Amino acid sequence: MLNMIIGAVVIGVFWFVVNYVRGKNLQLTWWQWLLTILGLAFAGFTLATVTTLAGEYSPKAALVLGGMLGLITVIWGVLMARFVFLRAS
Amino acid sequence: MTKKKKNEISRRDFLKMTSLASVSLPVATVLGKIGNDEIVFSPEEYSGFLIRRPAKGAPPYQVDDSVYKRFDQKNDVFSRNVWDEKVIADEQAIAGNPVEMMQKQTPGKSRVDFAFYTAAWTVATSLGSQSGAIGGVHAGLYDVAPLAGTMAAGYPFGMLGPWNPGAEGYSPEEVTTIIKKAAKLYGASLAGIATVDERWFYDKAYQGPYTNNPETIGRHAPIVFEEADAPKYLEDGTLVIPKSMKYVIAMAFEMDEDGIATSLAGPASAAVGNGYSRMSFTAGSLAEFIRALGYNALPCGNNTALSIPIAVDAGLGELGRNGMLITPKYGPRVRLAKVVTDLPLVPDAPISFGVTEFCENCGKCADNCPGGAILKGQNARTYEPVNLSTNPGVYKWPVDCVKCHQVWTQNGMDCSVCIRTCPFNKPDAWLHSATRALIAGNSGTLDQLMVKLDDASGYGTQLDTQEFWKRDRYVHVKS
Repeated sequence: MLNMIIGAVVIGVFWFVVNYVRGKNLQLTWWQWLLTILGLAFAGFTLATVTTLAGEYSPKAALVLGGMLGLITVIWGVLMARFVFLRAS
Repeated sequence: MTKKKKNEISRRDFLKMTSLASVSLPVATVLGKIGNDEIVFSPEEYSGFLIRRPAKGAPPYQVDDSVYKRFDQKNDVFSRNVWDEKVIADEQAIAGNPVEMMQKQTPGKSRVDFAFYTAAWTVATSLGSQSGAIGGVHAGLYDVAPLAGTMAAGYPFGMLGPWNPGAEGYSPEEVTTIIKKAAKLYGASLAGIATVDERWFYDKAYQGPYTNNPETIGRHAPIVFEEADAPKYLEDGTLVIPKSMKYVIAMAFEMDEDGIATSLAGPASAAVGNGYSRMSFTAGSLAEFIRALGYNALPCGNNTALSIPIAVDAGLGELGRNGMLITPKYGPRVRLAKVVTDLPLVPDAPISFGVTEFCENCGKCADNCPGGAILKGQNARTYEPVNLSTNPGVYKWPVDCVKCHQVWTQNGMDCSVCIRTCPFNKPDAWLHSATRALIAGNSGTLDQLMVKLDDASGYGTQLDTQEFWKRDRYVHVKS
């Protein structure tokens, strides 16, 4: 059941991104799309890391690695927003 | 249509390159070779590690045969607690008092903890098996002879003579698969085959204090390889192993992860004792299986031969800084047993997955060892012994067993801190598989970074005993 929910959320996020781009009539190149997809995948990886470590009864590891990966995810998102999405609009 | 700029990669080219990489990488890693080594990836056996199997004739250890001699078991630290007056006196001076600990309800040393720990040894210390389990005379489930009164002994297998697998259409590889499967069904977590290397067998066996027959304590007699029909003890205590018994089935038994995490407390010692009990039951059962097929089998716990080099030869893992076998799947969190046999089997090849390079850059076990028994720093490996209980002639990190055992004595129960803190001791999850793949890359810089991350993440810290009782994770035979 949880996997179904996670799958639905993932599809929903991608649907949102695609519709946002279309709605704003953004012109993204193929490598900008690639960076967007990789960024979303990295965000998913961060979430999976935190939940896996929490499930292993390793809360400190979840905090440390989640913090590190989460920081990278946020920086990636900010850079994408600033230099890709805003410029493309 | 826009002109293609010079040096710009088109989408078509990019997709072609990534498709080629994504197909070739797994093919290369599963079936590939680096130099003369074979590269293998098996999630079931090795978790996420890319395992290198060195070319035949290339051992994973260095032995100076001009120096190396078969070890006299009299010099191991358990035995020295029988005859070595200095060792005995030093330990008596610091010995912890379990009754006092229980009365004071010392955390991790309460009555519940001691009862949990001692009961875990039930199979290993009953049925006459204690000496075989810990190191001494073959008896009980480790008997040299077929066990009387068992179902296998009562069956009329003798009427059929020795099993001829070739006549029944079994190849040597299939026979080997059968034996390994049997070992795992009987309770082993890992199983591998090695050929007998006499260097790993004790020159002389010594019966230490752990036995169901106290009158045998101090028995000190040779182990010899001769022409004989079956393994047997001579009147003077000499153990004769037939030269025809050329194969050793090495088995590793995973110990409970949460239990070990509580070391130096009761649940850790219970995990260890449970490991010894499973060793005894499994080695004894496997020996009976082989005997029912009409072949000789000599089940061994810690006794008769050194389990770690045999397990290395059998491809179960590599030797670590802490003196333990480091397995890909469980790290050092295993106990070892073996069965020597003359049933023809196909030996496995030793493996390499980055342990030596990682241990060079790690040293977490040495930093956390309560007794200071493990060598610290880089380039510490040596052929020299550190005391009487270490054997010269093998290039390794020699462990000071005397300091190690003193911690056990003071603690009132055994220690497994080096196992608990080892970064290879991790659950079998996708995230740790990714880390294992990086370790197999043998990059010292990356190894150092991973050790720092391991520390920052809190791995290896002691688990509170009360928290242990709340968790619901267990060792499963097929995990």
